[in-house]
Amino acid sequence: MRARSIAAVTAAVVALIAPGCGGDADAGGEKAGAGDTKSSASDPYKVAFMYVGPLHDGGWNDAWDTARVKLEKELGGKLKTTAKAEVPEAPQAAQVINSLIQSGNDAIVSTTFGHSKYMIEAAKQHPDVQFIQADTSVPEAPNLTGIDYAEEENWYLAGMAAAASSKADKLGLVAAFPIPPIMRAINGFTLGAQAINPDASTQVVLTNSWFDPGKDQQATQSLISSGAGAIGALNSDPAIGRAAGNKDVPWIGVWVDQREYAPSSYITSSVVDWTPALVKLFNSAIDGSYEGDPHVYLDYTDGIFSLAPFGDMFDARASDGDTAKIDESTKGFKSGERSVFAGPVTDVDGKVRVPEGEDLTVEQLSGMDWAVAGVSGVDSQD
Amino acid sequence: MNDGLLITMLVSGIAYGTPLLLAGLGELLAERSGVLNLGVEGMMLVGAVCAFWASNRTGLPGALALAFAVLVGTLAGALMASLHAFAAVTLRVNQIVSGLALTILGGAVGLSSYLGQLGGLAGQTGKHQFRDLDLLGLGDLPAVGPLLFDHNLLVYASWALTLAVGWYLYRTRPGLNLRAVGEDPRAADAMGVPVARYRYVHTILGGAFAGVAGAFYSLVVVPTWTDGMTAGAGWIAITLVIFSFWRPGWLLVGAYVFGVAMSVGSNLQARGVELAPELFSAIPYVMTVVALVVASSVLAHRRIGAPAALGEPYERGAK
Repeated sequence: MRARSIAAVTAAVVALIAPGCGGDADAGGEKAGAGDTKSSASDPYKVAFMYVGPLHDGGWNDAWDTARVKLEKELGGKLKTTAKAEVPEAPQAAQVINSLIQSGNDAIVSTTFGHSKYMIEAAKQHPDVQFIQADTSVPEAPNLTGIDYAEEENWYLAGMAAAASSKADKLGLVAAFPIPPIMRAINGFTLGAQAINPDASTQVVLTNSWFDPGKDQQATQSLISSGAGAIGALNSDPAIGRAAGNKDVPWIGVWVDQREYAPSSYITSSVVDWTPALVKLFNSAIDGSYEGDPHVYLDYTDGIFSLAPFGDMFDARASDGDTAKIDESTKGFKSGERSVFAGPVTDVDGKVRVPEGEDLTVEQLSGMDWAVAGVSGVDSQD
Repeated sequence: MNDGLLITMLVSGIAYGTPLLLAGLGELLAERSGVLNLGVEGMMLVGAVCAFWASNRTGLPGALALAFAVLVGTLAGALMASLHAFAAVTLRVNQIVSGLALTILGGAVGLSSYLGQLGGLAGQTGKHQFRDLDLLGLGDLPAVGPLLFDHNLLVYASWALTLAVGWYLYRTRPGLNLRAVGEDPRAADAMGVPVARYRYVHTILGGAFAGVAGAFYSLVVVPTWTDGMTAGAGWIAITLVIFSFWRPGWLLVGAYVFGVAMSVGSNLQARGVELAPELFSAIPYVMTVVALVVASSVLAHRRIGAPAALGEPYERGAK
């Protein structure tokens, strides 16, 4: 009697779970046309984009997906894209990559660092497919291109705006993991803030997760109650801006213009538009002129960065001198004459990392694992 | 002084402990009737996703939308729990198996994710959020202000519910009957207490509480829906019931201790304490394990508080 009931319930439960699993499998986005093999010359070039988390996260994924749509539009019928959301940074990613290759994609773009090792593996197994990996710099296979970007430039400007709007010397940043691109942003932010206020310092709280609104909100509140006068968001969900807005503390958004989350105390957002870089890359891939570039380091001169229009709180608090300084630095980055880490730069332990008159190489930038003087909360790890 | 580390930690302890308290109260009621429900996590997630969906889709204005959303979350949790009640009370299956199945069903790759996709909820910004109410304008008092008078409505509700559950258990006839059902269903049955009905009602009530706890995540902390957003809080709530020896008062204390543990990481980081963030994230879960070890070793010696018939199906006339 009892055994039969358990079996009955188990069967019922399995039947109930099954549709849920089915729904999960084709999460987010149109399915790539299954079954067909590699596209012939007349077919459009097929590119699949993979995202960790939802497609519309109000930040990083949104910035990539906007660029994906624009890319398809700009290249007309020559290129077709698909989006694959909710691809975890786990072995499951390898299966997703394989199924995307099976369905005939010519290129796979991963927008998240945690897919790197699965992308590298797949790149070695499929030399005829092009792989593009964001947030990475390691030239592991000839058909793998790492996209790296000078986040430090945009965050330098954002740091200037933060210091100009903050009533305290202490500024706060909420970030996920201390990986090199994040370290560059943290350092750029701090150096920019110090260009406006030499006493500025940055307190970082690491949430250990790319998308966890609860933790981001908690981190923001902690920073505010510990006296931070402005908050910068390196994680992109609405929680950080809202938490700062609730306490009327100036805040800076990331990847897309996030003003709407809390307009009253909004300063600006560090906005990125990948479209020019993607158009260039795929144009050359389609016409065959692409020779493989193991490491692309995009910066202001590539036209991918900008600061969103300033909010009312910035206008109310920043002086004309501050605004002029920000404009001047922006021009410097655009022309390529200015560099964030031009020496002298000292790290948190007082060691001179970049001597006067020198600068960091792209390799040094893409491996950055140290914090500049004035940053606390990120141990210069390993 | 209200920005001091201690006050900040206690305040965030209350904020993060509240869903644990709500879910724990529900589980406490179910367990007091002798039904162990390990499906709390699944019920919370379904409650969270349904409440968020309701709050964003209803055209009602602010306060009404929130009330409606909480109601939907409550009903969703109750509906989930009724599955477990049917399995545990009517079919008399193994409650551990049935409860686990409920968590799998509702959980991060199950019904809640499916509903989230169906509604296109991931990444949507919530239209409505429970905000802190400065009660009687006392929120700025030193220490007691932020601790007692500056919370959102669900926090105040959780206090009222804690008192209500305590009063119900120890001061009312149905509460006495409930405890009897959990301790010795045969004797209760002989006294004329409808055992099956008591178990159904309190298991479902437990689900309703879990649904509200889930709604707390999607309407209070950050108004948004993320797959698996409760991040194990349902399991912590079950632990808390054991750790509180099935008493509502202790449950409240335990929930806040865990709430502080959950927020200690960012609070210390923000004040310049440098430690691996992974370590901070692990604190509540490590505490869960420690709490269970302590509680079970104490329980092994003297069975304090545990309803004697917990987890045992009751069949009239069976030996």
